[in-house]
Amino acid sequence: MHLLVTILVPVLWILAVGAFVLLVRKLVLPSGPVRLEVNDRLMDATPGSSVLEALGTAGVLIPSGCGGKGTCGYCKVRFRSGDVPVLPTDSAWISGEELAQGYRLACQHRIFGDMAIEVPEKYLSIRRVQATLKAARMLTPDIRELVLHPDESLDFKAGQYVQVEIGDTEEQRAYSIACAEGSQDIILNVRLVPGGLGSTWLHSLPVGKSLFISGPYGDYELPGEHGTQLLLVAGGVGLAPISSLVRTVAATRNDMSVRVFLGFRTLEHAYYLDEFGSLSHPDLEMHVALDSEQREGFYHGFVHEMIKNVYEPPQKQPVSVFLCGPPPMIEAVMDVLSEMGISRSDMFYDKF
Amino acid sequence: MSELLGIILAGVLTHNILLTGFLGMCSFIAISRDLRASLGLGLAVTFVATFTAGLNALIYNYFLAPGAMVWLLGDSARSIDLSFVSLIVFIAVIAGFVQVVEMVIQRWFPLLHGVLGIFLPLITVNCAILGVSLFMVIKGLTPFRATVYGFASGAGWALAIILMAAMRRRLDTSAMPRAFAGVPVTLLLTGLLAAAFSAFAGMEF
Ligand SMILES: Cc1cc2nc3c(=O)[nH]c(=O)nc-3n(C[C@H](O)[C@H](O)[C@H](O)COP(=O)(O)OP(=O)(O)OC[C@H]3O[C@@H](n4cnc5c(N)ncnc54)[C@H](O)[C@@H]3O)c2cc1C
Ligand code: FES
Repeated sequence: MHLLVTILVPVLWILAVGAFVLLVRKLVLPSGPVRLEVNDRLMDATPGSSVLEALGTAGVLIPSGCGGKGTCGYCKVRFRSGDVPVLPTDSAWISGEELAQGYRLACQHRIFGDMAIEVPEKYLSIRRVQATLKAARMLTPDIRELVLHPDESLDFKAGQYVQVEIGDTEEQRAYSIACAEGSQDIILNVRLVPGGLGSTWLHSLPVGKSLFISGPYGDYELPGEHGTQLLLVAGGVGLAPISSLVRTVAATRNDMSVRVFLGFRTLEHAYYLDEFGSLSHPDLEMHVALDSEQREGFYHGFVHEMIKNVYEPPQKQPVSVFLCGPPPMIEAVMDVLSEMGISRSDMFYDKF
Repeated sequence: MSELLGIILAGVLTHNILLTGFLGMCSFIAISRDLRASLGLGLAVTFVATFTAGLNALIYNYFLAPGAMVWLLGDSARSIDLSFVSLIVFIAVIAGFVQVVEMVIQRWFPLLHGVLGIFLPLITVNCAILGVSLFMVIKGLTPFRATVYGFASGAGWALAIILMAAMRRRLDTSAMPRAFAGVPVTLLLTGLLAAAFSAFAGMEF
């Protein structure tokens, strides 16, 4: 009798706790799959999963830089059902006006009943593909160029980026596409961040290995208007998307005038300069600044100082600006350009 | 009344579970980097400690303590002593409680989930929570007093992590020998803070 009680009571208690958890789970979560409406498509979703996870499972890939932690703000979508609460993580990334229109972070909201959301139409063409590392070389002491050959080609636009899945981890990192539009291969420039998970992995990946990428992501589009001036500014590895834009425009848009301003630490850290020099385009100018080294033919100083001294905005032509590089550089260049009268709404940037 | 006050002061100051017991150090070190997160985790620990101490005290006093099941099985149960399984049962109750709370606030209180959500899984393995339940047995507290004790210990833990986060904020902007930056200096500071708190030990409640 005593032995029986001694065994039964603790076991029953532990079972009771387990049963209670299960019961609450039943009460909290609907039993069957729920319906998720994305634009006009209907898909099934597992109750309790985040909208981001549900979209991923259904094959709709939307941008997510932080893997669902609410720290990148990329996964913004519009909820059509009105009463979705505003979380602190939402308001950190989304303006009051957009919050009122129903925009929220997809990774921060869970699905408990049927739900309708809207994502930009172009997200529906984002795909996850396997790619093989076809070739690789060091462009500078810390930047590696990776040539990836995807199993199915990604239909990307110049200035867009892909998300690379980092080995066996759950992590993904964004890398801009550096080659011209229409290329079958995807070329990336990856700078080694000391101690960085993704960049270290990509720097040590041997040629011939395969990996998964998804894309294309990114909102920039080359202006359609004829005769627009394209102003491209890059610092360091920020050159990657600029390289794609320069090569694409050189091949397809003779109507545009192109002004390229690049900033590096020293000449050793600069890359692609010769290749840009051999592009044929009727109106392409390139200026390079080195901030830690004096060299014949290069501006000595920061890229925003060079722009201030060298650049003259056109009087009549419309201007479209693409900036890419470290956040302080972007801030400084945007300040200089707005002083020159260029509107911030014409400036597009990727902060690395 | 004065006894309850005594329990509270002891939990928060004189017998602060983190600074005198050094329980819950791993999340303390990891999260005190950030003040806002420390507030969130402090709140979550207080909440869970309060309720699990009460729940576990109920189970202990009515089932597990020596002779506790007399109310259920009559006099023959006087010699049954299940206190040796309290550890396992407490762990199960804490894990179950945290799971249930997480599911419920995720479903119905998304705002609160935004504040506490990511910390709840951390709490299942926070030894301060289990420590509270085990100490309450040693102290022989009734379920009500255990709840108060759980609240006080949780609040003490929260106080300690918030103090540390505030100090680390200053450290971030001060010149620091490389070898000390991060965890080492946090451990040193914890020691100093504990030494400072030991000044409260003279007060007996
Ligand atoms: C749209 C977009 C496009 C990008 N394109 C490129 C590209 O073409 N080439 C490229 O090299 N990188 C690019 N990045 C940056 C890239 O996604 C990674 O952030 C970077 O490679 C570091 O990742 P990691 O895993 O190596 O470092 P992590 O493991 O994430 O971080 C290691 C340490 O470095 C710090 N850190 C992380 N990221 C940065 C950063 N960007 N700058 C400074 N410190 C950092 C962290 O705080 C941490 O202390 C892009 C980012 C975005 C958002
Ligand atoms: S995925 Fe980064 S905020 Fe949602």
